[in-house]
Amino acid sequence: MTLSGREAVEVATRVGQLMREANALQSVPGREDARLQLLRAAKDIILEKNLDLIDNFWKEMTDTSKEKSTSLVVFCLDWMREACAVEPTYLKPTRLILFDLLEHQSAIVQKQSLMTTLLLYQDAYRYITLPSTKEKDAEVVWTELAEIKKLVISPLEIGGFEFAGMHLAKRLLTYKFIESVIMCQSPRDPSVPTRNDNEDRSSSLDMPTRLQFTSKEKVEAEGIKLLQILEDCLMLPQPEITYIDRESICGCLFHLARRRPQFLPRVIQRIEFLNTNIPRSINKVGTESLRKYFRASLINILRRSDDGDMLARIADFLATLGLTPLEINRIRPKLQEALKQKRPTTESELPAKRLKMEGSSESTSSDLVGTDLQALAMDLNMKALMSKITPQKVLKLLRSNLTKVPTKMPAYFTSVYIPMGRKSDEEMVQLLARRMAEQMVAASVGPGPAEIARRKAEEQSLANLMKNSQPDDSDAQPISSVLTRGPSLTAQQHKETMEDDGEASDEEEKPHVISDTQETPEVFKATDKAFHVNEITEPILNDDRGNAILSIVNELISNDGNVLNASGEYLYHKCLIRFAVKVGIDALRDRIMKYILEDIGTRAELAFRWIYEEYALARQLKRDPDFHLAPEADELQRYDDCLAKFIRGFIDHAEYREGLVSALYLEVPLVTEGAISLLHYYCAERSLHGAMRLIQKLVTARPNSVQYITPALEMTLHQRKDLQTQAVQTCVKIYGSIPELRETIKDYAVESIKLLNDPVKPPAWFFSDKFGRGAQLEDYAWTEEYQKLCTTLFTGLLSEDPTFLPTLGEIYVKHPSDVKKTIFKVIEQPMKTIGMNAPEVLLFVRNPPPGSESLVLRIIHLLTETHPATPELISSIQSLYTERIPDVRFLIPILNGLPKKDILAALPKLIKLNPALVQEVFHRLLGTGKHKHDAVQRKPSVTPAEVLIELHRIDLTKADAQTLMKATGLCLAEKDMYPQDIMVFILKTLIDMEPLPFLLMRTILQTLTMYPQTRSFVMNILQRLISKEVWNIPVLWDGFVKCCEKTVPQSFPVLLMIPAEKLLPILEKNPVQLKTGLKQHVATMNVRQRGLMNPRTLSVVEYGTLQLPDGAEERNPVELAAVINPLPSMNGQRGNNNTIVLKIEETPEEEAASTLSDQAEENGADSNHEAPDSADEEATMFIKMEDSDDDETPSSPVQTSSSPVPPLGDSAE
Amino acid sequence: MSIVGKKSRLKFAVVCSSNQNRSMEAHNFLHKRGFNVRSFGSGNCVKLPGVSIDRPNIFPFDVSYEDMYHQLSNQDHHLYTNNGLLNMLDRNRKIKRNPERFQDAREYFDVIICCEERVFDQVIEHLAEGNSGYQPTHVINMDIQDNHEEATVAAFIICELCQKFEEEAEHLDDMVSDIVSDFEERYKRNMLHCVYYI
Repeated sequence: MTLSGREAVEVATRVGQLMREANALQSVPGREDARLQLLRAAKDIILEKNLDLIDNFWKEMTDTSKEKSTSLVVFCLDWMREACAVEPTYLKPTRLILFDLLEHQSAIVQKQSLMTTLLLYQDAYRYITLPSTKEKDAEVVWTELAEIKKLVISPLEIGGFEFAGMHLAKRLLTYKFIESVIMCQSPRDPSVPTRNDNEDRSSSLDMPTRLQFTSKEKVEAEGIKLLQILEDCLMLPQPEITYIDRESICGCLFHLARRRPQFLPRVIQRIEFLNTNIPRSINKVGTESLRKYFRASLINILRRSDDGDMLARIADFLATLGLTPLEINRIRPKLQEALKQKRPTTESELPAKRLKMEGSSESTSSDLVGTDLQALAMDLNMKALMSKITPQKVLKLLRSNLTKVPTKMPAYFTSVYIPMGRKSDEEMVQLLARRMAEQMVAASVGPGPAEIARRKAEEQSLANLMKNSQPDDSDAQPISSVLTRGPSLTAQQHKETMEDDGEASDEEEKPHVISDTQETPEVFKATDKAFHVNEITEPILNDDRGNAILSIVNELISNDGNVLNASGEYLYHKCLIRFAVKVGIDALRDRIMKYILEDIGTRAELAFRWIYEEYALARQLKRDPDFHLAPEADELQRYDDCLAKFIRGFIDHAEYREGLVSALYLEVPLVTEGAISLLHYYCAERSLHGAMRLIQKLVTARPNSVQYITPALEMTLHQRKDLQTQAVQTCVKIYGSIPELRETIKDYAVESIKLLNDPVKPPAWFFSDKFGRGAQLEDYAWTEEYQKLCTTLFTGLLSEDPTFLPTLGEIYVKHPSDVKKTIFKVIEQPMKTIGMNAPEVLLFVRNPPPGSESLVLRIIHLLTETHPATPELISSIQSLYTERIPDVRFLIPILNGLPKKDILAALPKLIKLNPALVQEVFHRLLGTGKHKHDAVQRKPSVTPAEVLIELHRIDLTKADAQTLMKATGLCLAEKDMYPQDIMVFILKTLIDMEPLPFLLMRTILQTLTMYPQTRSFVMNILQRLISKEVWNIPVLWDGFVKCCEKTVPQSFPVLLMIPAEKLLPILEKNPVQLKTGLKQHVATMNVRQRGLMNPRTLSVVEYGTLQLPDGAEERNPVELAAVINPLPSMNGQRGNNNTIVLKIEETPEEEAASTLSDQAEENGADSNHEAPDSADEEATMFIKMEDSDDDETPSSPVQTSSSPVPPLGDSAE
Repeated sequence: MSIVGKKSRLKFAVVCSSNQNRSMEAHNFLHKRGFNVRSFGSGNCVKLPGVSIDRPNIFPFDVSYEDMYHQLSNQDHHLYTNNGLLNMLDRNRKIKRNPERFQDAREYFDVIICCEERVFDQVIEHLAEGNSGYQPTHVINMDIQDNHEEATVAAFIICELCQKFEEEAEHLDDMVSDIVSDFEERYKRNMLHCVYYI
């Protein structure tokens, strides 16, 4: 790096310029970064280009150490370190500055300084070991290093109190510094691999032998001494160093042990010692973390080490830390093989080796390295104990001391107790001895510590003698102070401790011992001990405390604006919530609650925080095994209270907002039962719709949705109509949208409707408060209202989901009969909604549960009431009818859809039903009444004529006469359906039937009544009856006669056709109308006509006897038909009739039907002219014939008695 | 609970076993609040629940969340939607590309937060192997059950913890043990704390 003169000048100029610029910025605040950049640039140039310039700029550069900005100070440290790395001669000025900076006010600077020191030491040490270094320079550097070491390490040597005042960061680096010095000053083990060149650069082996001022042996001895210091630090009592110190010291020790395997045994021993003697004052986190630390480090060593003896010991140690043999084997797969390898023994390992051979060899203290006095003490103690411990003795001790074991296991015990595992007696004794020895050494009891004390005294006197200097007993002091009872410990107590130990280490009283030995912490307390506030403060009385806190909170709240501005919302909220949750004062909680509720708009956030905090607390209580106060169920009590109060508060609030209440329910970590039961209140008192919306949200948004649906379900039985309706709607909606809840909703609906199974009264809970029925317990019975209430949810669901039908059927069967009526009423709406096309309906109709026929009937009826049945429904009903229940009532609603054959087949059964139903049947068949509309949509498969004809076909074996008469009466009452032409057709069909229907004459008479203008046609019919010898059929004969009586004078020709024998009784019976009339009629006939007549008939008419006058010959009346046929045209004599007709009224045989038929005949006669064309040909012919008659009849006196026509059916009765 | 607007002075790492649920929930949460945070898994591979308990989905650490998402989605979209896995992976892929293994990271962290004792063990075993640097790093364990709800609750606590650390950044080493003890007592969660040099 030699530069030419010109270049040197250029570099110097450049550096100078940079430095000037940097200095110019010195007074400018806020430009540290720019300045730092310039300085760095200058530094780089100097160190790269021209080392001579270091001297020139040293002062300027190091002046930055006085700057305020930490980054500048850190730059200074970098500068010094880098400069010293290339020119170690600057170590002295560096050291001076460093010493200042180590006490710098900034913790970061302190930390950095120490780090720099550490690195400086390594660089400088390396510099000394370089062969090129001159001895003089090396000595200077070494002196400086000694100074640095002294400074860094002295706080530790003094005894820890000053050290404890340092920042932890600095302490941690101090340990690392010591570790690094030891590393440099101990021999390197070539078998340990290094990961890179930088690692393990220096060791005592590099120390050149030529140097006069020091030697390899000297540095190594110093290294051992430092190691001892570090180890002793580990056992400093708790207030001075924390578990973090212990962890990091352990970390340093383990690191050393790894790089310098010769230290491994003593390090392991130290750690084992610490493990059994973890100071009680370390908290749970600390204790457990330390154990973890040991574990991780030991696992690491177990993986790498190849020292068989140590591996066995480490494996044992790990077992005591809770690792199973399996786990150990996994960490070090071929452990057994590794155990056989032995490391070449070196002198420094001896003490530890000896320890492993516990008691088996004679200890000769002379070959022990002085620094490991503790190991010696352990060794001696163990030996003494081993010879004394026998299983019998242990048992005896255990028995005699069992009573002293506390009833409750102290918490500390559980954290330090190490299980012993299964071992042979011999191993057990060994382990016991070792643990006891460790504790005894810690308490300075037993032969070991005595021996050490003796030696120390010897050494001291020797040292006094030799050097006349101060004895250095810092080695042993800290150890003995760890667990000692103090100097006042008497011999008796020693013995007791030993006895206790024996027992405790066997099973569980060890913590007791440790607690004994730690009861007197005063020994640790030095006069200049750190000040602890809680030691001088006294607890305040609970009441005072409460009042004080309350007033603080009041103050906070009343100034919330200021507090918020000052602290920010987060802190303010946190503070309030902390007060509310952690301080168990009800007044305080109420106050804060009130504060929040005063303005829920802006303070809702606070409420949420509070609730969350309570929840977190409850969860912690649950998790905490030490929490014995509250049983499981109560841990959420406070959370529940708090949540319920807020919900109630939000609902009742004057500025109620649905969003807030919803948010409360939806966002809290857990909705408790209390909160759920408040939903009732919410519904009833605040917002029904809001609550229902909330329930819908809850079931979709929160887990465990079943619990949220329950209030809605319960409300479906609520007395208040609006609540109830809304609840049913909500439930039905949820049923449709959330499949998981279907089962629950269905169950509830079924349960509700099943309540009706109890015929006497609803269950007691039906009147509980939440249903809003008030105290109605005295009249505690079903009303129709209650019954309907219980069915609403079910019917609501039914209209949504027809699969409920079978369930309905099953329940229905069990219902009492009055309930069945209610069910009939309530299913109307849902059934209409479902419609008849749902497959469930068809299936149900096809297969109804036994006993539910009436329900099916009702359903079918409802379905077909307004719409005609679909083919599917019809086929379902048909199959039900034909296969399972041959109840003809099923067919009524679908009559129109059935094929003609089926209808006609069912007709005899149908007409036997009760009158209302029969009426219904005919309404449906004929498409009249309320089925008028129906019939338009769907033509019945049978015509009215067919119906009537079929009725006539039914013989008397199938139905009695009365029924048939009623049925035909009902048919004919629908006059619109049976116009004249249809009736003519029907009569023509009937007359051709074989045998003649027995209702024939009745129907003829009725036809006459309905349509008097059919009189001629009827005459025709009567003639045909004569040809069928109607007189032989008594049922018809009466009717025939009656008909003739009614139709005089037109019936005279017909009468004349009756054989004389039959005619005579008729005429005798009704002499006024028939006999006289007929006589006159015959009298009007001309001779030819009379000649054609049967003389016997003529004789009957004229003389009232069957005796034929002489000369007369008998003729077959049937042959007469041809003669009589043109008769109507010949009967011109009307005037004579008048008297006859008048006499009818006087007839004693007052059969209403016939009388009325007369009247109807007269009435009908008036309107006769209007509809002649509509009749068929034959009829027309007769009507025309009648026309001529009627011209003269209007003056008939019968017209005077005109009254409304009562229904035929009634008159028949 | 946020340091938005201030520069995070500390580097945090959150470690769980698969770098999926707990660590990512916390990562997400902390990142949104401005912390300098990374997340890791400590297991040998990434394990996610499968169709049955004995058939988990196993991935190497370098498979991206995106790929996992698609793989699971193709496997059984309904199942993994219902158990929240797809949702979680979707969240994760928006945060970083793939899960990372702690043992492979070569970075310094001021605080390493582990979500489970087993994870803590693995982390400190790895750190104990080195432990040769000069910068102390704090490893903290807080047991969190491996489910979505607990992860969310824990993310809050972790955030609060980090906030505390950030507040005490200058004297972090001195304050850590107090803060940890305080949290242990307050949230009744078992905590562990070890110090290593990196």
